[in-house]
Amino acid sequence: MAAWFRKFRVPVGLGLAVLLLGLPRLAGNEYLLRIATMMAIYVVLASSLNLIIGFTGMYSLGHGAFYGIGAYASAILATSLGWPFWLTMPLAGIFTALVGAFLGLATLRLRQTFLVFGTLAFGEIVRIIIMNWPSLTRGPMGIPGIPSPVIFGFELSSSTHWYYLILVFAVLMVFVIQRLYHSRVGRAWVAIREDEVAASSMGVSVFGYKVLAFTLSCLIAGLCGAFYAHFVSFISADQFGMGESFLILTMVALGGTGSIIGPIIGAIILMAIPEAFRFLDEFRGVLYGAILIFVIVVKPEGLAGVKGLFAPASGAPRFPWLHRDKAGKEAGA
Amino acid sequence: MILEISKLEKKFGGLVAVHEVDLSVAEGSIHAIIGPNGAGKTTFFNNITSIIPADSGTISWRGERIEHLSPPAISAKGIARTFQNIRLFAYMSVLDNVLTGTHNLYKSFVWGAITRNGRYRREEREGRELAMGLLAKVGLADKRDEYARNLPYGEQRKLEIVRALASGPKLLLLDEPAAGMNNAETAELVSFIRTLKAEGMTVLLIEHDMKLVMSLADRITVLDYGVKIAEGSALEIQNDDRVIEAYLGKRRA
Repeated sequence: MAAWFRKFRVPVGLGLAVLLLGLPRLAGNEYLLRIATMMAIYVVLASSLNLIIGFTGMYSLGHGAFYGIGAYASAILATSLGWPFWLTMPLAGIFTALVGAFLGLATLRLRQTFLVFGTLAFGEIVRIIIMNWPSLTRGPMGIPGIPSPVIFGFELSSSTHWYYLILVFAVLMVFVIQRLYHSRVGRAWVAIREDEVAASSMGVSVFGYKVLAFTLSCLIAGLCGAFYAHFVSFISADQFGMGESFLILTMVALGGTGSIIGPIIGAIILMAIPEAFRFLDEFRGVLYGAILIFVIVVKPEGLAGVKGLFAPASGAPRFPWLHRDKAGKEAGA
Repeated sequence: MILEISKLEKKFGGLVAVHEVDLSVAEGSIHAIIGPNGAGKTTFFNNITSIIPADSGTISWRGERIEHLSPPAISAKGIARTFQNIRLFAYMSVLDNVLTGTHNLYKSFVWGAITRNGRYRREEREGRELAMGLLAKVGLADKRDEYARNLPYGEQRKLEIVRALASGPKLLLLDEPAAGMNNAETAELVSFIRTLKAEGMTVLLIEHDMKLVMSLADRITVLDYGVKIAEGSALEIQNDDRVIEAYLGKRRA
């Protein structure tokens, strides 16, 4: 696969570029273009969560909340203070990163299982705060009328404008994550995922690099939130709940943890499925679950991942019930 | 003395794993720690590298107290180690394992990694040259892109030593480097450790392979039930009654 890709990377890359750039013409309608735009946002969200889960080997079930914090921060600054998008977007990212760093400092010394619950609880706390602070967030009414960004006096309002804007953002973010992954910083993260004791003996400050991964991941999620808020122009707390966190997690687990391409594939598939299987109505949830279970059982590292969230300990058989021979049964009994 | 340890103590509940152990390692020497299973050798290593800090006692590195430092800080001082049960980064390439060993040598951070500025490119090039040079020394250069987990056992042991060496240590702690190796591999390891010594490296090693220990070590320390029972040259240790007793039991009267 990798060798095949290296051989054909120029034509594949060109084809992809033409497809992505030509999509507004190819799609032909607003609806498909808006789905493609949302896909791009989720590609970035899943890729950013992959920093935490795939690279550093930590768990987070609160990513939807960070996405929400970014969206609300930018929306509030833009609607109540009237600041331009180009100012509120980076500020939203920085604010989300600070919240992430704070949560990281408080929770990243926890063991895995406790970290799962810590982040899950944090996500719920964020949602509840948004719902119950009407003077700032308008509570359950949400924030409508979030303005579109303006470049040189030109308002980006059409779906095509938004598509290109978010495409540029997504490509840039994936590029940044890719460069981090293939660097001294990325190697330190992966070393922590593989073996914290060995990593610290090699001079990697484990806690520091965990907080760094968490903070950068939250920074990117916050930026995604800002883009989303101004794109859809209306946000409310229920868009950033637990379901959102699980959706992003599922994208990473399905596409593949610990690789660059994995979360991208996962995000595209999980954004395409609900649209392609609209005729299934409420049974689409079942389809989600079935796909996820299938992947975990057959390919625990995900479709294009390096090392799975659910990978068996090294050396352990992947399907223990298939490998239980007579001797094993006797030993077990 | 490059490393001086005095009255090191470590208890796990009621079990005294290391009891008032003194140890001095001379610069440029190969110093072996031997002892029966459960004698506290690995705990002693974990105390030195601060992975499991000692309860009391002092550790001096060239006259500077280091027992309160964190593992990364110890690594930065120039002390590197391997592990008894190999702890490679399994889902990382052989080259990346070694590059992770160079972590302390370089400074590039998030900004350098994203922009690939001059310093980042220089550090990355230097690190790669260093890593490939070390891999070539142990004959692993052509496996640079393999996952570490796919290497055979003997090569994993070698890779772990190379990863430790990549940090440019002055003192190398090897925890049973020859465990599970066949005779040919052990002989290769012995000559490799000799080369390291010739290059000025100080080596402190735990080993059960007596042939290796006796042929390699300048000085040997024997631990039994966490207590140092003997220390001396290979010849002295071989004729020490307490050592023979610890390994074989009391001689009949």
